Amino acid sequence: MGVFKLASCDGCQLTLLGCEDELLALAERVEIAHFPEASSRLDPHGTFDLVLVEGSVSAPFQRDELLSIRARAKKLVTIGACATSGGVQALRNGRDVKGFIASVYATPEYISTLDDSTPVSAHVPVDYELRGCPIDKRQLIEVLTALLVGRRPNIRDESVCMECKRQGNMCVLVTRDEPCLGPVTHAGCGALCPSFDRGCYGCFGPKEQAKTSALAARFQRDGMVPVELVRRFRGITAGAEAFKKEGERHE
Amino acid sequence: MPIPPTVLAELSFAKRLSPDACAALAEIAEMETFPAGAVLFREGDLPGGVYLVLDGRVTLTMRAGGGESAVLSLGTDELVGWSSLLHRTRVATATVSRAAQLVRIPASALLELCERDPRVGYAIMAQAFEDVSDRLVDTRMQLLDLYGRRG
Amino acid sequence: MRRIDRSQLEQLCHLAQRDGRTLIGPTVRDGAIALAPITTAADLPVGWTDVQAPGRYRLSRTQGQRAFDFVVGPNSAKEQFFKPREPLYRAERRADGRVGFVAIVPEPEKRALLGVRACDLAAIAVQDAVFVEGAMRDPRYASRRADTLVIAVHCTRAGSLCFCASMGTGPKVNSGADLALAEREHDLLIEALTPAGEALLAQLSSEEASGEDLRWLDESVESARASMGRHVDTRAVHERLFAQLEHPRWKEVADRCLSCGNCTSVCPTCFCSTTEDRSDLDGSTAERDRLWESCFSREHSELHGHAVRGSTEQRYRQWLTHKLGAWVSQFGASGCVGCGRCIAWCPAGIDLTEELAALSTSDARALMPVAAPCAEEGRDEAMVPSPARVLSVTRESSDVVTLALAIDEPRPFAPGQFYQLSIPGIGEAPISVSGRDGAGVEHTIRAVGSLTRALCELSPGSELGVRGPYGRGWPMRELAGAPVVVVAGGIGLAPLREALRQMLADPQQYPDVRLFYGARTPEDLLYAREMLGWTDRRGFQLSITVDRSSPTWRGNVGVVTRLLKRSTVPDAARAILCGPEVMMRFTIQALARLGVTHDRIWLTMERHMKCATGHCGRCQFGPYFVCKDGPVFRYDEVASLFGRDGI
Repeated sequence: MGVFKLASCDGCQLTLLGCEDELLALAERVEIAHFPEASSRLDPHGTFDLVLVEGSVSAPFQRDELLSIRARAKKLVTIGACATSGGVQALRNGRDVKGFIASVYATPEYISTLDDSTPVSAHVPVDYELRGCPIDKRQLIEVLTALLVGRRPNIRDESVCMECKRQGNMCVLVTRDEPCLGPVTHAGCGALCPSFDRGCYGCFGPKEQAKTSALAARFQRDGMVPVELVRRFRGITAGAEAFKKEGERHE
Repeated sequence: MPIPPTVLAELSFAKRLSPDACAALAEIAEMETFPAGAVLFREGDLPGGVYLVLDGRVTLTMRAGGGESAVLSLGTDELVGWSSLLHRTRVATATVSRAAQLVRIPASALLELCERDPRVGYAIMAQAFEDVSDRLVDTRMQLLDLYGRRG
Repeated sequence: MRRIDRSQLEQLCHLAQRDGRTLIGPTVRDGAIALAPITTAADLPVGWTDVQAPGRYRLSRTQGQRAFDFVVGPNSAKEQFFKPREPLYRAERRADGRVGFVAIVPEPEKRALLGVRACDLAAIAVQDAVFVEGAMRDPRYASRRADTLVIAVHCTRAGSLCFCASMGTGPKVNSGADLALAEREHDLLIEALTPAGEALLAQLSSEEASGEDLRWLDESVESARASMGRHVDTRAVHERLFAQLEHPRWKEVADRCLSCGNCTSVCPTCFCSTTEDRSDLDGSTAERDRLWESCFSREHSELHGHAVRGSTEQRYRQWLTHKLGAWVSQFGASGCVGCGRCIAWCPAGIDLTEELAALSTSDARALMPVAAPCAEEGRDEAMVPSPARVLSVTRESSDVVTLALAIDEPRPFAPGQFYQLSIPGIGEAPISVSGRDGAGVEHTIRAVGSLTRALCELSPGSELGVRGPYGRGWPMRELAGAPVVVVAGGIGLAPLREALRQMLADPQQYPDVRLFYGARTPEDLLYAREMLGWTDRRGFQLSITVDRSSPTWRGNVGVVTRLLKRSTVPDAARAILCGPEVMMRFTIQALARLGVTHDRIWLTMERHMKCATGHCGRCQFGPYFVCKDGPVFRYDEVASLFGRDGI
């Protein structure tokens, strides 16, 4: 197995290190040949049964690296919001990137970047996607275990609401109009934010059949102004199609 | 060998025809027997006869990838060689794959019959259209590759 | 009818917890009235009421001291008996080295439910019908449900989203409880409906209710009935709904529907579930869990890797037509009890009663099958496989193998029935039985997904799990004496093989059998050698065709329906078919032209059977469960729905 990163904060890779109880069992079944965050013994040019890719494609060299990784990986799993939707850095997509660079960096000519930050799946075929910012540890273990035994991973593409209801959480949206993206967001986090009495902010990205317009209509009925609506959908997974479109609708 | 109008009348190809028209069709038709392996016509041949299968099997093949590929086999009551009704060259090669008894109708005489009496012409063309349309649907089903992905 | 002082509520709570009984009652939690374990009357929502609107639920303080001055919260008795997630079994290596499957069934639990409303009593009865009153009994539900003391409350006030009066389930408690309460400011009326209720009531300090008390109760219940916030017209609603499958309203509601599944989760009757196979990293143990599933999720209608109901429009239609329509055919009662939860807890505020009214603009009616009560005593079906061993593996084609399995404690099977084959940690799939080979039960399997691939890689001696047989097979009795046309496509020959073998072995009963078989290529033809052997039998005709020829193929080329078109079929012939849905659709048309009417055609339905016991809801097809009503159906039973998109 190899762990690679593109444009990202390393938080998802850290989730792998955070699998303390499972790490030993994992190491017995899997040879981790390349994992710069954890080891200085590296094999960046090797071939792999499984590659975990963190981060989005944000710069030209990352595109080339990704193509090379894919060619050497039997299975490729993307981990996290950056790799699956372009991440928070996709907020720049469609904007004045040169202007951003000029205002942020003292010597902008050293910066080589693409206009858009894009998910891995926009460039190479992906076997499984793990959503989230960061990814959920149980989902990571599940995908690794499933690949080892040859089953389809239990990665459910339902709404966060299903997880909330199975856990017996009270709905923060229905009981107190707390803006919650749960109904349009991909499950997998275990309804983390609603379990702590907060609205979901959609870090797992849109679920299958995400009817964002119906949820936005609800937020509007509750008094949310357009600029706030744009902010809701333009978060960590702003680059994901359904959220991107909904954000644009209220601009 | 001439074909009795009563035998002809049993075939779908004649089902829209009046007894008189059926008799007129029988006049220009011949009944012929072919052994397995006989080639009725080849892909690219000039228009010729139209065939109706009484018994046996005719297989249509097309040239592809340096060989002949069978695309459809036809049996009792089916029409072979419809493209001649449109004055077109043969689109496939027709080979008798199981000894067959066929009705052969020269396309030129058949078209003449159609021209002479447009009502007869309409009935014959409508029937040919039905056959070709059924075959189009079948071809689509083959294209769907029903048993390929799932089943 | 007796009357008790308010102070007796504490005693009631105390008595309800005797003998280690867990008391589940209403209590305020996180801005709503939840149902949870409580120990004292002080846990009850005294002085609270609820204010509900579509997509909105609020608690509000009352000036009074009533404990049941609200209607319903998001929870119902459902989650007490049918758990949101629970393990079904564990697979482990036994002492003799073989794989064993250990059922995980909870110990019988004693519960008391306090404050149950009439609508929810009806919902418990509905879930009982699903889980314990059919041919297959879910032992987990049964175990939790068996010893439940129910203390119900008459509704003397209707909520703005209530419509139990329309559904005929409330507001008055008539049955399904041990005790029924009616609450006033200072006291409560109480009535025992069962001996257990009487015993409990006898230990409370109570006095006989007066005529005035009784009048108050009647008037209050009547006033609640008259002030329902919602109303639906239930006349022949199941037949009217199924006549509106193409109504533009489905599309319209789908524009508002989030397909989030909240409605199905809060619904006290929704019973759909799915399973997950889990294993640990070192592969030493494997478990299967069952968890709540919603017909609004993609996976719920998954078949061969894609969703049969791909759009929200189709999923909403499935939900509503099932809840108010198909349910009546399946269980003899509506799946809706009129509690209004789906309206309050829908984030988009979709109102079922409004949708129903909009869909009821026409009086057109579809003919719906009538629910048949279960004839036999139900048997416990714990959804746990029996160990089985592969006796032999026959490779039929490049991606199809036949496994002959030795099953521990096998039950007899009929042709057309199916088994659930599973490999611990990988999954389970329904596979039709394709025959019998000595002591072995044969299954012919095509490698398409992870589980079927794993099954195809098994070798003699391999172990796996088997449940079954399940379902309704081919109508061998109805086929006897008549000419039988058998039409098979691709791997569809497998479920027909045992029927063919039985018919060919008994020419007196089945004197005329004609098999039409289409496959993709000559290499994909199944059982080629065996079929050649059959051609010697008198009264048997075999026609084979392939979609794509090969250089050495001398047979027919073309679709299987073309073979049918060029043949004649004797009068009174019966037909049995199995193949891809498109093929069966065209075959039925071809058969109709040959004079074979719909009531003489049987086919197997393709749906993904998950539990095979009629509990998970996964294989629903209109009014049917394919796993128990099928998989073989007479075509006229399914003709109005067969081949329709998104059913």
